[in-house]
Amino acid sequence: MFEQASQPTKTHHRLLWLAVYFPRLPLDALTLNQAGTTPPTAIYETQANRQRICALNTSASAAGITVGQSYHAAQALVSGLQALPRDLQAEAACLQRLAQWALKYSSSVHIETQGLVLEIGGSLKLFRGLKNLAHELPDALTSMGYQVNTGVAPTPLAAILFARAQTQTMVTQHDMLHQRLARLPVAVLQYPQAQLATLNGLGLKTLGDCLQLPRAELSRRLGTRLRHDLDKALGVMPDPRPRFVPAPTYFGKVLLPAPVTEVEPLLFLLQRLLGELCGFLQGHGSGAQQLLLRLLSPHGQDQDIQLALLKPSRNPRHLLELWKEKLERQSLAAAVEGLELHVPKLHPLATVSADLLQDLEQVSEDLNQLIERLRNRLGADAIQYLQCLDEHRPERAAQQSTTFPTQPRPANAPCQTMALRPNWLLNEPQALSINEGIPEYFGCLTLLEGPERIETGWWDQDSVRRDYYIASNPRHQRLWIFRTLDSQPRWYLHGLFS
Amino acid sequence: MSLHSVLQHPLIWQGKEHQFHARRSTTTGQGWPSGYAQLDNALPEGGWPRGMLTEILFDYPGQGELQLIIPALARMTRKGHTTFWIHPPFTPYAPALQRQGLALERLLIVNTSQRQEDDLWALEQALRSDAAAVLGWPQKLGDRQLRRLQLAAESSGASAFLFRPAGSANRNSPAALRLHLEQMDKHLRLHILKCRGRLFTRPLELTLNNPA
Repeated sequence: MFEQASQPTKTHHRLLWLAVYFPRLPLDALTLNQAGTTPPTAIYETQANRQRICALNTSASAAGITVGQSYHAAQALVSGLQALPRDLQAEAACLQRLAQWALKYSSSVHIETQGLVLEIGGSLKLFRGLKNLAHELPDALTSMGYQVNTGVAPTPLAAILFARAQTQTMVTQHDMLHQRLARLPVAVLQYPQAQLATLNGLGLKTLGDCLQLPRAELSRRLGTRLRHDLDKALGVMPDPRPRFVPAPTYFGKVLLPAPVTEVEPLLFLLQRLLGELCGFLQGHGSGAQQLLLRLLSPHGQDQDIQLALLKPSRNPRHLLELWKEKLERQSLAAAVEGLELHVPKLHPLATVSADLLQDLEQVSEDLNQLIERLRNRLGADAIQYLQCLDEHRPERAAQQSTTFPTQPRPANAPCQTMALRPNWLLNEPQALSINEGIPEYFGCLTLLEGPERIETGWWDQDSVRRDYYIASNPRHQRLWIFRTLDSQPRWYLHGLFS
Repeated sequence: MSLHSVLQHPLIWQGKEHQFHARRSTTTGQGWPSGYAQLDNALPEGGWPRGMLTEILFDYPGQGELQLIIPALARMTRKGHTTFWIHPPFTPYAPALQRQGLALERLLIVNTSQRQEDDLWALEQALRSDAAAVLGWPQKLGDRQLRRLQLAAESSGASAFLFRPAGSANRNSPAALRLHLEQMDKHLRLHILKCRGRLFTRPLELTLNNPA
């Protein structure tokens, strides 16, 4: 009998499964669903030449449409109804992305019909207990725009059945399993309509009704499938499932129900994609450094937007902010139908335990993110570091570079001279006019100090022979000027003492 | 007996006035010591205010406006703090800055295009970060924009130094500290137009560290 067989075995009692069921997947895989802001939208599927509604958004259900209604009835009920055919391919792709994302909760993720199952027995400690994990995961999915139901059980199939029943059941003990499964309606098995009708015809309304029948009788009358499923759900029969293996690169794609010309709805979609990407990266122990976003438009007008980071990252908020900055300043050349997010290469990124994180490291992480934001908007060479070089020519004694000076010579690239140097240098020396032999810059200049002779560089093209002076003018500006040492001396302004 | 061993003796008191000042400023105020004792004494925070705007108004570049804050910048950068220079009007000259003790790897020069909105955006972003000081040379600033920058500085505690033409002295400003520089022959005259918590009737006469 089932009762006896459902005794927990040693191999099973430590495993715990969390199933996620996406009741609205046909819709969620295709559209973005912002409550209230979108027009009533429904997805229909064709079965035996009849078109029936299989998923709908909140504004459609508010208008009175229900799942299972015929397509024509729904059209008649709501005049502005946006009805789309079901796209199984998009749903499969969506589940793949979600499975990638779910890797951050467990290394053992399995794809189900319209859902996922995760082995979470080993992750409970990491997520501080079942309650935390069982809340965090669906909350994260909901914020990405998915409608979800979850179930927890010691066997994967039982967890799936609980999730489908939409009762948020959590069973951790084997001995409770039989009792809780017995309450579920047979519909959660999601068998073909005809078979469910047969069960109904026999008066079998719940799984409990089925479990009460003698096993041999059950197989003979209803085929072996039901018996096997019940055995798997109870953990009597092994239920091996192929583990989801992530791709070594990330590719995510979402399509919009209707083309848009504004950036706002794109950001919503992008947020979802980035959330999925970062979960995937976390599960992989890696980060993304080069990202490519493709805005899909009809007639081959796709636009590509690249994002290059200083350091690999898997912080969805940071990434979204960078894209947002780019997108908001980009004019959409054509209406956008969907987004593709591609990360061609994954970079290893160590998981840093939050407790061990030093304040200082956090600080430099913030700084890196700021530099990325600035570069993202102002251009790759907008941020520059200063460096001293071992050079006598004033214009060559300093250098600006876009990368952090990796070896700041501490005592340091001995700035060649101890003579006074101005805080500001002009990019190019500026020729000064001469009035009766005296150089002028907003009035006659008075020489305060000098000359300091700089005569160098004869070995290359740019030889320098100059006498530098510190001068002031009637405006009280302190200037760094020089006179060339050749047959026709000229005066130049080279810097400002500020 | 050498002078060195005398100085080592615990009973020998050395009038290290600058140390005294440094200690005083860390206990009584939150500001960054400016490196000018006279100025630190005058300012209620014992130095350049943190988390607030400081406006430095001057007529022409090259009057010592940068020199005024260089000692503070040197102190910040050597402690490992970052300073941002948003769109400076000329190239900051590395040898001069290094000579005055700035750790160059802590200076970040942000070159924006000529667009004012980029300058303001970058200023605000930098002010919201954990940088110790953000320097800006904004062209025109409205009331609202100044207020935004003030809020940004408050949120992070960064010191904001805005270098502005003397002509804006008459306009209202939420800045905590407003100074107008006047270069005299040998020294700098500092008119303190506004200082939160203190009223100044007479200007400060300051001799800069790097007199030229």
